[in-house]
Amino acid sequence: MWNEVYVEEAIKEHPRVLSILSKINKTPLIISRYDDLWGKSKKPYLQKRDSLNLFLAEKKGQLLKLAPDAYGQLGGPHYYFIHAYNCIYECQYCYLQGYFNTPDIVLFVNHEEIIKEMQNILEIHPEENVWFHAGEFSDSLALTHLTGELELYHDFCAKNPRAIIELRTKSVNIKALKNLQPLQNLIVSFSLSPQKMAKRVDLKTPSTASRLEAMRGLRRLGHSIAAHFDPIIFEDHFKTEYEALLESMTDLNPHLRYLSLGVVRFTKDVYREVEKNYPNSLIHTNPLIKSFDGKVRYHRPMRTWIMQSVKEIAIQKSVSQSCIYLCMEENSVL
Amino acid sequence: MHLITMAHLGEAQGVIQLFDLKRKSQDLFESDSMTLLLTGEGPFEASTKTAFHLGQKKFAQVINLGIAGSLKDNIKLGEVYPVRSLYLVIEGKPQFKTFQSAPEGLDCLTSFERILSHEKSLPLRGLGTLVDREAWGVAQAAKSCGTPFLSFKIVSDFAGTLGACEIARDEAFEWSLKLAKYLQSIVQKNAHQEGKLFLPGLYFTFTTHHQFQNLLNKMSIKTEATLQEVLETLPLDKIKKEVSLPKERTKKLLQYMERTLDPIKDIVQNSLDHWQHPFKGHGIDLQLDPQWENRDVKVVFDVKNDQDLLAKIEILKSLSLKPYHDILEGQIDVE
Repeated sequence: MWNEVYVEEAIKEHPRVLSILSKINKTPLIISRYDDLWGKSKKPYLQKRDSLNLFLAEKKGQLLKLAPDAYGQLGGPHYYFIHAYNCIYECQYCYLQGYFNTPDIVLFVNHEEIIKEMQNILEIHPEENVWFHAGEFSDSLALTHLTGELELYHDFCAKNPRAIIELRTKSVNIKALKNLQPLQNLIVSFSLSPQKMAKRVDLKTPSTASRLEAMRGLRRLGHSIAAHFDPIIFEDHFKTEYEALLESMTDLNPHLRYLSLGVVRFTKDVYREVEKNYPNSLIHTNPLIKSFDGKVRYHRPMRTWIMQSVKEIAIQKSVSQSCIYLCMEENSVL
Repeated sequence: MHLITMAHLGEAQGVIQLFDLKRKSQDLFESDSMTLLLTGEGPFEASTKTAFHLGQKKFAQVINLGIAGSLKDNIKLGEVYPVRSLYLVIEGKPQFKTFQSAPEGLDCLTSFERILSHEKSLPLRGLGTLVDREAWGVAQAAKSCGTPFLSFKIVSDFAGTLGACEIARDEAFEWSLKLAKYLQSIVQKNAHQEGKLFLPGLYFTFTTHHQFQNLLNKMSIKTEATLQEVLETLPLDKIKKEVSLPKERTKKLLQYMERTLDPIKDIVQNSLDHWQHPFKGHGIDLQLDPQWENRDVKVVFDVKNDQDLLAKIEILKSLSLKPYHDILEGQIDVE
């Protein structure tokens, strides 16, 4: 899977690094700092298909960032924490293709420092619940069988009921979670699309059916689960497709902590990359305009109609109205 | 006309012979369809010389051929590989700007210095498989002149190993022939031109033809059908019967294709027309954001006199923005 593996000199004896290396069976190249090489040259995104490098590094600087408005459910401040850069999956709409200069993956191993920073943030907000999201720059579960950090975050949640951690994923890599005691404030959220759409745009990801099965597995054990229908991509039969998707998860719907809805959108730069990387994607067959915030989206009547339609179907299929929220949209949309 | 760039005369012998090129100056060889430029060693030299020649004459394509070392030991020596991405390395440090050559192939680092130590080459392995001294410079010149660029390399040795230069010298002529034959196959492949689509009874300008191709492609992606299959679904006969002018037929066809791809836009537009129409009849234009993002409406009308003004005000009393705002909020009847 990995073309080359690079390890920072300072952490070459770190137990987590040694553990990762023992699982990937590849002699690492030792470098001073990951960013001496990573992102120094513009590496085309699709080269991840056959020459993906892995960097094991220590995250310096800002370990947590305040999330933008409309990032998550209302209530409490939202932060995301940076445990990795880039992703093994290849979703055609993914903003990562226009975000970094390289698709090479960086796994940060200093989780203790990230958790320490979370603790500090909790102290800054003594009266509120604080959300910490993983998965902003990488899938939060896909590589946890290598990285093995979930226990640390679980422990943090157990000790801090005011902290709510969201693990966003498209993976079905839930083995490590299954061994952990379910917690109300450790939520695993799955990004879902109707199977036909997922097959066309979520390349190299587990099927929708497998993701639903993983959700069931966690649910049965009492874990908190949530879902993201984001991005919703228009196709002529999208209502029927979402109806079928929500029907196939009727056993899960009443248990969803939240369901976020978001219609496909891009920054201008990311859209340019999507056009370059996936010129024959279904995404380009629909009309896109530059919208109110400069992002490339469907025109407003279309995107509000799409969101209303999916919201109505979700409510019909037993998703509680109060747990549906819109991701990265104007408040006035619904 | 192709511009072929190679570093040295030794590796260019095969090309000169196979394509029967005539020497024009110390570094330049030519035939009717090809110019061969010897760039010398190093990216700066290669870039300067290539840019100079691209400024002299229009070339359809720049093709860089040459010898490269391999950073990995799983590469077969003496094989020709297309280059995919080109990186520049100065004093062992990768530089930001990269260039693309073929869609598939091996990635190549152009190094400012010769890589003489295996140890020094190790960290660069994640960046590319091949290492040369010119290709990035040639690509830079081609890019800045807007000329398509391709690069192909024959692998001579493992970078940093002892005796690499001697091997390259001994094998130079054989490799040069191999490169020449490879070039011949590329030039022949390029000669096959794609045919332009022709629809009798319709008239396409450059712009409308581009639009048509674009829409046809989108319909093919959306329906997962071939271009031919999509073409067969287009109501060409119906349009030809309904409209007599070829240019108008094209316009109608493009409208049909746009509607097929974006049925919602049509529905929204019809609903808006229905709302605007009664006012339009009285000379009152309800102007909307063409992107349908902004909720504001601009009401535009001319008045001839006080009486006309009062009449318009009276009509405007029945104007409500709610239908427009409802449409913006997704209240559209798609069923």
